[in-house]
Amino acid sequence: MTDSPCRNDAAHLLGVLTGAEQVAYERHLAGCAGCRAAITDLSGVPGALRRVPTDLALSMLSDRAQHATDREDRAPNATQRSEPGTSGRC
Amino acid sequence: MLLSGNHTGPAAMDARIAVLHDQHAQDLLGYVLRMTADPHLAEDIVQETLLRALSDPRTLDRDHDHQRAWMFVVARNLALDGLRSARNRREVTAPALPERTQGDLVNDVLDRWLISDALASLSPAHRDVIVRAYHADMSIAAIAIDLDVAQGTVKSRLHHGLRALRIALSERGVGGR
Repeated sequence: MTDSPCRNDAAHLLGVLTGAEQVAYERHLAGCAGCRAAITDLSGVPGALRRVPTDLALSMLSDRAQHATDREDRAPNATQRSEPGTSGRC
Repeated sequence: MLLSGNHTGPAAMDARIAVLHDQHAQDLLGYVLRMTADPHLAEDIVQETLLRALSDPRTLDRDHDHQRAWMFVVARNLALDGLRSARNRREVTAPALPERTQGDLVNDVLDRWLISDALASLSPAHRDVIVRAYHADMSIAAIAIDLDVAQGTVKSRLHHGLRALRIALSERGVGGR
């Protein structure tokens, strides 16, 4: 699987990048118009997530925490949903 | 019993409420609770739904599945309408809320339901990483271990999942901005 920095946009918005990753992503962001547009486009999503009570959100998790152990998860994924106007690729 | 305080009809009426209650109330409550995340509000809606079913003469003619579907639609509409009827009934035993607060409450409940519905509409793979990262406050490394996938896979699912959520919010009229 490729490790494009652009893929880190959501993790950046949700605040789950490590310190080093965060520094690297911000450096990348300065030079990537696609990511800046994506960040703008997605910027309201964390605020919306905040409106969902934690216990309700947790109740939506799959029953099987280990549901994703099959190998197809590691294969290149060609079935993603269409993305909004901005491309996720640099 | 849920309706005992509000009902003065004959015994046959009580029996019909009991049947409706036994057959549907628990599932309705779960459904509405998921929409509103408010136990008191959910109970009000279920109560109102049962009362409406009882006062609708067509209730007797519907088969079980049809009646059940009808009640779920009523409950859903009550939640979306802001539950004013249920609120009004509740004011018999609870202090009335100021108008402005009631309006805010309705909007809050509606927004919360629309956003929860958008989150629920995602694929499990997307929802599982978003909820773990945001609501469970887990690191990417912890999520990867939990789901037994590579950290890159977690980042990738967050990347696509947040876009899917953004679209789902837009489809529900929530700007996500």
